[in-house]
Amino acid sequence: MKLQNRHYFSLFWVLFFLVIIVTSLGYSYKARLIPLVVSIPCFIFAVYRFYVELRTKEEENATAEGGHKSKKEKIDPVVRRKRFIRIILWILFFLALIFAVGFLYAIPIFVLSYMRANKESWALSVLCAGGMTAAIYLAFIVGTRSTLYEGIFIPLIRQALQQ
Amino acid sequence: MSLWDAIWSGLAGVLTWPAFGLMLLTIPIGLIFGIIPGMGGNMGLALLIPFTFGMKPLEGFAFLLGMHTVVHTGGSIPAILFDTPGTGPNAATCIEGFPMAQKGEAGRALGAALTSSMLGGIIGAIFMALIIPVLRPVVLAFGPPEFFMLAMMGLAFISLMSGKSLLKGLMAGGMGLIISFVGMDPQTGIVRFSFGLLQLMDGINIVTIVVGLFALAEVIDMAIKGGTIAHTKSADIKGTGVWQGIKDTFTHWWLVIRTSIIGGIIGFIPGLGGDAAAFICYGHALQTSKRKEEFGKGCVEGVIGVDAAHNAKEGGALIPTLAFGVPGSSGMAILLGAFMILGVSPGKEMFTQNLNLVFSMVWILVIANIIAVILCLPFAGPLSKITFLRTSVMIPFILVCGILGSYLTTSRISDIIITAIFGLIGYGMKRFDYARGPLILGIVLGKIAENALHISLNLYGLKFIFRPIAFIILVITLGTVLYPAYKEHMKKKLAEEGR
Repeated sequence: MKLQNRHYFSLFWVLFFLVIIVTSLGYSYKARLIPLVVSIPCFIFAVYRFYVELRTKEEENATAEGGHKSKKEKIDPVVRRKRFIRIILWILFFLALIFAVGFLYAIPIFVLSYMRANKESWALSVLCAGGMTAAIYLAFIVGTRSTLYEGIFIPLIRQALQQ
Repeated sequence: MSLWDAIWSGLAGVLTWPAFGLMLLTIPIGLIFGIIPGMGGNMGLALLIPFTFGMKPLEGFAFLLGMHTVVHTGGSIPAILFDTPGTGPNAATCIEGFPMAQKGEAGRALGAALTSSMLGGIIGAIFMALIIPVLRPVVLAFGPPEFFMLAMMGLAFISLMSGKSLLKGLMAGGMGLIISFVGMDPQTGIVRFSFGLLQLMDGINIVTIVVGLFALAEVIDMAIKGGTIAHTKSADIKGTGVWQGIKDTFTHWWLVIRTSIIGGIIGFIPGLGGDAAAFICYGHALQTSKRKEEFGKGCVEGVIGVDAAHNAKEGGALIPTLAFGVPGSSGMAILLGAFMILGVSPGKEMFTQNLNLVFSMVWILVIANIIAVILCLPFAGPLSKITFLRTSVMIPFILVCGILGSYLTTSRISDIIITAIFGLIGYGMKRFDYARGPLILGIVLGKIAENALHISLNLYGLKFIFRPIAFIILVITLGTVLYPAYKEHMKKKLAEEGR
């Protein structure tokens, strides 16, 4: 039997509560009491849910209690998977940009590249990227004088330029 | 000074220049601080306090309270339009507000949220004025056993918020509780579930999780489905639903009053906070609704109940702050500091010599809420049209706001990774029909419940259950859980007999 996404997601809950139980056992009585009171029944529920998911076929699951809506949405699973991977990669790209060059540079780069990749016009993409960056700059740097994360490279570049 | 003299002199004080002008100045600032995720009222207060030096007490109150009162009103706007709560309590607005936006009813949701926020704020202020003599002995009687029972009452709503599958709801609630235990345990000093990561030692902030669970999950879902946030083009394209939302609020006037009073009472009790008020009132709206099956799919009652509660909470939270010097929330703690800077000390004198100042605060709450809604309502219609923009325009906007909000809440860059992880979990929950509300409820109430339980057991042993107020709350909780089941059972029985 081939495992599907819903099986993996059910398995995630089983593993989550299992890790919590095992970790809790390492704490003192007082510290582990409530986490165990919560996680042991939840682990049993999760195992039961996983068992139910394994036994339920896709069609039954779509209409059964708590079943997901893949049938109703009518998106081809291959297309769904492709789009899912694509958006996850975009999110990772944005996070990586933030860690590399900080918010003030990551935001315009990300907005511009995402909108252009999704076939928005240059004018609208530049307008959105510039507008969003300007709004954030005005609200946080000028207005509230907050310190936005600068990333790994910007302080290094600044240091190099100062020397 | 008689009570009536104090009421009218309080109003006259607020309406004089420059107090009124200062309040008008800070109301839009409060709305903006609410709209931008991660900023919130506490940051606003911290930034505004330096400007109060040299102001008279009344001017300072108008300046600070005017801003603080309307923050949650602004916070509902991104919660409804982008599934990104502006402040913690607005997370509960997301549950029904965003599905309404998806149905093309963003205008209606905004109209209902703004109007119920205003009414909640007004009722909360009136509640504050009326309840002081009655509830003073009650609030002094509140200890850990009562806190624990209140938290249990809130957690009992998990069963109602679980949607189609109770088991999935319980698991989500369990995960929320476990997440609330992450970090230093105040009872034992042990750091739990941090897995050696320094970043988790202080626990995980609720906004960090909510942004992932709702906003990021929605970004993923939107990218997969394409189109627009609103799945329909027919309903609310002109933003005309705003008036429908206003009408809905007045149709459900009894719900507004009930949730405002509950919000006010929760605000009155130090330590529970706005998040608890919002979620408990969401549970109450769900429990008492005749259209339970519509909850989770965009039910206006869920928006009305939550938004009335979090604004009403501010009035309630002012009572212990002014009367006993015990702040009802972190925002009130900052305000308390500001009061002292302005030369006003909380305590008995507030309700004897400075009664007109107390009523000035009540009027500020009322007037600020009305002005905030007057400012926001004309924009609600145009704002609702945002939900009809293409996802390729909306996704970068929501993603930037969400990630930035997550970072700004704690100023810890590692939190954006936690947000991303919860984005994945949130998407999985959405796709496979796990209700996300119970998870948030678990996070909000878990820590309160655990701490209160340990202290109660240490102080009273198991007898704490039988303390009068704790026992009353326990009976109400049991009634909350059992009565709907009994009603359902009787309905079935009557239907069978009818056949």
